[in-house]
Order: sequence, then structure tokens, then C-alpha cells
Amino acid sequence: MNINRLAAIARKETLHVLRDWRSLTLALAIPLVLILLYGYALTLDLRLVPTVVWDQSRSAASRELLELYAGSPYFSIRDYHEGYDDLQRDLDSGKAMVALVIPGDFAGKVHSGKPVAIQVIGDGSDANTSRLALNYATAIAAIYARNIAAEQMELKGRGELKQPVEMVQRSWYNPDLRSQTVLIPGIIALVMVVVAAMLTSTTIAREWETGTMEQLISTPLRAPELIFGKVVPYFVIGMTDVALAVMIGKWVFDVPIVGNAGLLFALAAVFLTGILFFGLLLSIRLKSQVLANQMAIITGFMPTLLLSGFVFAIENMPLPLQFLTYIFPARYFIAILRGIYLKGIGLEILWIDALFLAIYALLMMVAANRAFAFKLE
Amino acid sequence: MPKSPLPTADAPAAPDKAMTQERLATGNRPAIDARGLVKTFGGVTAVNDLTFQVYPGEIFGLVGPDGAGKTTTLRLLASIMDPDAGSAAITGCDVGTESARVKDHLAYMSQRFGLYQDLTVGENIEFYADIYGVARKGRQERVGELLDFSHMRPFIGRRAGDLSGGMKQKLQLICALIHTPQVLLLDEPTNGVDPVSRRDFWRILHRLLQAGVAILITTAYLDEAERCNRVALLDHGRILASGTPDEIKGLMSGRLLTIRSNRSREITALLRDRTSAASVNVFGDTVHLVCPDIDRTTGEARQLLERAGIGWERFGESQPSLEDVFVSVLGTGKSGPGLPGHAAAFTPPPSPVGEGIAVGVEHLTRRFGSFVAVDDIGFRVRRGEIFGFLGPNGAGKSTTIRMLCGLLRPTSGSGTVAGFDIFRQAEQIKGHIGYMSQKFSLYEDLRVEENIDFYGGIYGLAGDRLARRKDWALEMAGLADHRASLTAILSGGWKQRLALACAILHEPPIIFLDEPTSGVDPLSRRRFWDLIYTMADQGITVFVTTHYMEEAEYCDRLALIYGGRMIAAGSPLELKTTHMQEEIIDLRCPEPYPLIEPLLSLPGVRDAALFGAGLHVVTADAARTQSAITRLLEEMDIGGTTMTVIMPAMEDVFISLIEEVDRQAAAHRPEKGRS
Repeated sequence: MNINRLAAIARKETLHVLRDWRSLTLALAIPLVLILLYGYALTLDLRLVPTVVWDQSRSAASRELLELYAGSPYFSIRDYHEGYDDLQRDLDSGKAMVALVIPGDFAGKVHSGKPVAIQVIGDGSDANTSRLALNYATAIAAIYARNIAAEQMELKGRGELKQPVEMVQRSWYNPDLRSQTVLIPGIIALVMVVVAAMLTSTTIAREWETGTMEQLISTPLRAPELIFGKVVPYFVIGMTDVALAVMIGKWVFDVPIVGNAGLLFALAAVFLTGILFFGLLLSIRLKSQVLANQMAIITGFMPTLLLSGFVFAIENMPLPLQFLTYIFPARYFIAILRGIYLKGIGLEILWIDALFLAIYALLMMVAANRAFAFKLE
Repeated sequence: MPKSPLPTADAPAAPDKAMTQERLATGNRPAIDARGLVKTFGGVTAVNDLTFQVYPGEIFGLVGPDGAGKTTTLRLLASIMDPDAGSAAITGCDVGTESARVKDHLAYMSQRFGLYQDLTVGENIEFYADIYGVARKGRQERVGELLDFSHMRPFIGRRAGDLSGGMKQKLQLICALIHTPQVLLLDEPTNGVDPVSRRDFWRILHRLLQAGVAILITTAYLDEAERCNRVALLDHGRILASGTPDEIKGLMSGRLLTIRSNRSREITALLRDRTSAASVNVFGDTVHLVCPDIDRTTGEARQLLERAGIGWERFGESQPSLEDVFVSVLGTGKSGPGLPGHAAAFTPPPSPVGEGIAVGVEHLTRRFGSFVAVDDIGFRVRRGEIFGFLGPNGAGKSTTIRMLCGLLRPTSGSGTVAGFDIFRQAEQIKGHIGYMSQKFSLYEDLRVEENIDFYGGIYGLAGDRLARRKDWALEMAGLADHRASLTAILSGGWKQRLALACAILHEPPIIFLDEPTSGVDPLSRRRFWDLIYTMADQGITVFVTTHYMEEAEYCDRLALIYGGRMIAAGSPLELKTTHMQEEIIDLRCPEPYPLIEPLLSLPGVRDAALFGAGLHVVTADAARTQSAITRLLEEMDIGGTTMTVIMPAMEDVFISLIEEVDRQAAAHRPEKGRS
């Protein structure tokens, strides 16, 4: 490999990037947009679920219960109705996601210490939110029930209620259970995949399409020089995007890096190398800009979004899908990012993921070099 | 043309007058040595057992119709494609096993523009210098020398994409020459290039020959092929003939009788199939007859013409050009299945248009932003006339044609086409014209017939009429046997005729052809012109743009356009006789190149340039210059020359006019700066 020729390719490619301001803007704007979009829109937290109520009891007891709901950050009581018809209308129209029905004998049964059921109806067409809302609604009802039990114990002079086992919840690494804290690291991986695939998947195909490749392969230039030279400017852009994403995460979403930032950037470089060469491989194989670009998005973006543990936990997937996740490097990188970002752990634990990333990068490098025939068919 | 000082070449070799045989005798090693090269694609053999040698300091031309295997041959030699059989060596290195060393010694210029449009001239050169590992030391001198010699230095900061076609080609040549290659492979390097740039280009090539570089060139311009030391005529991947241009010309079976007359088309129709001539073809105002027995044909033709009462300006035997040979060797049967007959029937005559003016424009102007693409042009085209619009790429030809066809709104001016106003009646115009764009707007993934059906449908043809027109179109294009073939597999010439057929399915009275013969081989070009003549004879008006100078001579009248302005208009003869103040001396000699410098220093000589196999000397006073040249040749002890004062070729006229315009522009520029 001749380093001067490699440098010539890198210089030329940099000029292309600088001249093509649309692509350059995209390469820097896409991360911004993605981070802001996912950071704000893709929140998995439950907040102020619109709720409607049919309070058949109309008692102090029922009001006390409803106040617990209204006072929680999770529910917002929008309306009171009489009869199921109105409840259904609001659920149908989407005005409400949860309906609470308190039976007429609620107060009486509570005071007499008899068991009483309240009905919680969730809008199952949004399964995720509905499941969360029902869980929270149940939990609030349980709190109320415990309060009542305690009151009654005191009234009866039996002293304080003692629970045999009490669970005290602590969520390590993300004490507030903010989803942004979990998502920002994932978004960084997503941004890198999208940008890198977009950038390198067209670069070699473009030279075939414009006819410049025929000229290039007639010179003493060798395949590795072309391939490595082409990666250089895109590597710089990719790393800039990582820095950009980290900064937005910190300043806009208040998600700081707990662990070693240097290690994070170093492993990001390994991951970036792998996907840049993957993009090149597509470009070399397909020889068409449009096709290579679409393939890069399908094979890069989709698995990173769906099969990396970014949003959907890998452990909950069917076994075959779980196996599939092992071939996508985003899986390892997201594990690394979360490890460094949230847990502050280092290579002593993450070495295995880092090793897989390195293997992937190496495989792609070799594959791209082998795929490039440097001849006309 | 400025008298450029000829820089000394890197590896100067004495101008070698020896031809091939002598080189072989001295044991000179061939720079290119192809032995039995074979390459097949699918079932098609593109290159079939090709063997030839090119020696240092020699320029070897590959000519042949589309699909003859010219490009494939170059690719095999450039070591960017592997042969299926046979071998080749470049400066003694095998292209298969020593690819890396081959690439060090070779430069290859593909047909497509191989440079980066978004990089500047300087950046492109620098890039290729790095790729070829040209040492930093001395690099600037080398680059500067190439820039100066190609007159490209003023454009060093310009983006390659903004250069004209000719400048692009020169830039590509500079990039290819940056590492001082020993072998140069050029694939149709001057296609679409204006005549001035073409002269520059050939000047560079000749300087390389002096330095001992071996050049292999493919070209569609047969006058360029005549400048080569040796030529190979390629067809279906095989060499039909090779040798010096003179040897090749000797291959023509028969001699050439030419008749010049302003009624050349009538003469052609009259003589065709009525004499013993093997073929009768018309080239503008001249009819060419290839005669197995010239005396007999002369008698027959003279008798026929006298009986018809048609006069002529010149009648006699001429030296055949390579094009005559090309057509006669390739056009005789064996390679031409499916080529259309001369008398492809044109059915009903088109509806008459107005008072005989088919197209008329005045002060037509079109701006794109601050750029004036077409600047105040005006002309009139009579019905049934073949009107040529001649100019280099980027001169404004396509823009004009698009305005006339109602595809583009003029910025100012006025005009009518087929009696309709180009501003207000664009839609009516579209229904009354046929338009064939530069890129042959055919759907490659449709079959021949499906393309015709589609265009027929667009023009509202249906039922019987469509069926009738389709049959006509297939016959006209010579594609009757290929109606079910995919368009993508057709050769350039066939696509061209199919596109023409599609454009005139609806029998328009006027047709616009935008560079219809660009990239089409000479044989197909001539067939195409036969079709154009036939149409014109039926009263169809033909408006055609071209950058081929020799094609311009085939038109009835033409306008020369340069930089968006019309610089001259008239019949080819008028242009040659009235627009050229200087006289032209045609000097034929064995080694013309070394004579250019001495000739330029003779008194009265305005220009001396290579033309075909000889030189054209432009002078204010032919008689004085002729005697000066005779003295010069005696001093230099050069024999075997012939000298004649000739009528200028269209290329001479065009270059002389362009240079006049450039001189005036240079003179006016300071004034503009002040105002």
C-alpha cells in the first residue's frame, strides 16, 4: 500500500465532501434532528394519562381515592360521567385512555371493612401505554387500600400496621427511571449507523456511475489505497457526529457520561470503522448509488432500531430473533454505550463486546478489499 | 493561433521517418503487442483473435462501426479487463500477470469523462500526479509545461464541470500525461470537441510522438484516422484491413468518380442503379460514385446528365478518402444485415406549411440567470430545406432547438415554427413537428415495437394508421427483423434510426434533429443522411444540429453558432467563398508535423495546421507563400510533396471565423471594463 496515493484519495474525497454542501449539511443535520426527535418524542415514561371517571358512590371515600389519582403525575382526570355510554364515547374518540368506575356501595364497604372492587378500563389499542397505565392505576389503588387498612387498625387500637415483607425499590444507574437516560446512548449508535451508511454507501458506486472509476483503475492505484483513502473523511465526519450527539445528550437532555469518555470515543471509533466499511462493501457490490443507499438504510437503520436492544429488550424476543441480534454490531455497541454512560463500567466488563466490535470491523475491512476486483466485468 | 514555443520533450527522439517495416528490421521492440486477443460477453464475441503491434513514436488508429470491439480492445490493453484468450504486452510487460508495471507505463483515456467535475482543473491534475506518484520536485514544471502547451493555464482554478467539451478533453489528456507514459490509449478522445480544441489536441499528440510515445487511438472522425501512421479497420472484433492510410485506400475495389453540382441530390437520384457504379452517394454538393470501370461509368453518367439537362461544376476522378473506403469495405453486404435500403418508402407528403417559410426567428435570445445561452439570433428556413446549425458543444445549439420546439420559453425575440408563434402557440407547434433529442429518448427496457407503439400513442395514432406507420417505421429504420428485440441491445446506429422513426411517426412537416449522429459510426452516419435527403426530397423541412464539420457540408444552408451568437450563415459554398479572406494551400508531405514551425515563420502565413494526412496553410497571398514553401522544402531537403491551392474546408472556415470573433472579443473587453 502506497501512503501517498492513499492520501491523494483522502484529499480528493474531502474536497468532494466540502464541495457538496447538501450532503455535508445532511451529515451534520441528520444527527441533530434524530437526537432531538427521538429524545423528545420517543419517551417511554407515563405522564398525565387522560382519564374519565364514573363515580357512582359520590362519597368522601371515593373523592379521597380520586384525589390520589389526580395528585399523581401519571393521571389527569378530564371529565366525570354518568353511565358507560359516555365513558365508551370518550375512549372511542381517544379523549381518554383510562376510565375509572367506582361502585355505588364503595363508601359503605370501605367503612365496614369489606372487600370492594373498583373497575379500571384501559384503551388496549395502545397496548404499551395501556399496560403501564393499568399497572399504575392498580398501584395507586393498592396504596389507598393500605392507607385504609392502617387507619382502621389505628381506629381499632391495634397500633400500627406492620407488613410482614416490605419491598423498597431502588433503580440503580437511572434512579428516576427516565427513559431519555436509557435512549440517548442508543440514539448515538443509531445516528452513527445512519450517517455512516448514507456517506459511504454511495461513494464507490458514484465513481462507477460517472465513469471516473474506469479512469482510476487504469492507474497504478490499488484497491486498499482507494478503500482506506475513501474512508478517512467520512471517519472524521462520523466522529464529529458522535461528539455532537454526546454534547446534545449532556446539555439538552442532561444525560452525562458516568464512565470514561475516552473509552467511549475509542470504542465508537471501532464501531464507526466497521459500519463505514460495511457501507463501502455495499457500494462496491451493488455499483448503484440508489440501491446501495437503500440497502444501507434497510440493513443498517432497521436492525439498529429494532434488533439492538435500543428500544425493545433483546431478552423478550423470540429465540431465533435473539440469535439474529448477534450479527448486528449495534447490539454490542449499545451495550457498551449504556455500560459507559449509565454504569460507568470499563473494559474489564465490556471487553467481550469490544472484541466483537473489533472483529466485525476487521471482517468488513477484509470483505470490502476482497470484493473490489479493480477490473471491468 | 499563437505561435507556441515547442517545449523540449522529456525523452527526445529524432523524428522518425521510418515506417513499420523498417522498425521491425531494426529490431525495435513494440510498445503495444497484442497477440490473439479474444473477449466474449455472454454469447457475443466482442474481440476476436486480434493481433497487432504499435511501435514507439507511432500513432495507430482503430476505426470501425459501433460494436466493432474498439473500446474492448483498449480496455484489454489497459489491463482493466481480462481477455478470455490470447495475451498482450505493454512495453514488454504482460497485461495479465504484470498489471502493476503495465499501469506505470501507460495512460488510458476512456470515452466517458473520467475526471471529477466538482474539482478544479488544478485539483484534478494534482490528484492524478499523486496517484501516479509524480515526484514533488519538478512536478510544477511538468504541470506548467502541459498547461501552457494545451492553453489551459487560464482555467486552472475553474471547476472541471464548468469547462467546455474541448477543454475537458484537453484536461483529461493532461492528467493522463502527467507521469510521462510510454503508451497512450485514447478512446474517441475528440468526439464532440470543437475544431479549435481538436487542433490543440492533435498538436499535443504529435509532440508525444516526437518523444517516442506509442499512441493507440479510436476515432469516429475519419479525417483524424488519416493522420495516423497506420490504421486498422475493425469489424465484429476482427481486423478487416490494416496498414498506412494510403495502403488502406488502395483496398477500395474500384476508383472514385466525383461530380460537384448544386443539384447533387437530383444527380444522385438520377444515377443510382442506372450506371455501372457499385455505389452512388451524395456528400453535400458532391456525388461520389465508386466505379469498377471508371471510363465506362464516366461515359454513362455524362450521357445521363446531358440528357436530363443537369449541369455540373466539376466532373472527374478523385482520390478516395478513408471514409469512402470505410463505406465501401463495410457497406458491401456482409456486415449490413438489416440496414435500410436507400429507397425506404416515405408515404404521403406532409401537409404544406404557410408561404414556404417553415421556421423563422428574429432577435431570439435566451438567458439562464446572467448567462446568455443564445444571443440575438435570426434566420429563416424554407420548406423542404435541410438547415444545419453548426457549432461546438455548449455553443447554444440545443437551447435554440428547444425554444423552437416549444420546450423552452425564449427570453426575448420572436419567431414562428410551422406558422405558429413560438411564444403563444407552443402546444400547437409540438403537434406539427418531430423532435429527436441528443440522447435518443428511447426506453431501453422496451422492445423496438413497444417503443414505436408508445410514441404512436403519444401522437394520437391508433388502429390502421398506427399499424401502417409502424410498418413504415420498422422498414425505414431497417429493424423489421428486430421488432421484438429489446432496445437496449441495439447498436448506436440502429437506435438512432429507431429514434428518428419514432419522432416522425405522425408525419410532421418539420423535424428537428439535435445532434442526431453524435457517437454514431461513419457508416451509420451516411445511412442516416440518406434518410434525411429522402425526407427533404418529399418536402419535409429538416433542422439539424451537428458538431461534425464534414456533416455541415451536407446541408443546403447552415448557420455557424459560437458562444451563443450566430457568426455566419449561408450555403456551404457561400460560406467557403465569402467568409474566408485568406487562401488555403493544401500541402501533402510524408512527415507534416515538423514542418509546422518553419511554415509559421514564413511571411504571409497566418496559420499552419494538420489536416487529414497533410497540412493546411492559411495565407493572405497564396502565390507568394507557395514559392516561399517551395524554397523552404528545398532548403530542408524534403521531397515527395504536393501543393495545391484549394477551396477551404468547413473546418478552415469555422476556425477562421471563431478566431476572428475571439480577436474582436479580446479587443472589446477593455472597453466593457470601463463602462
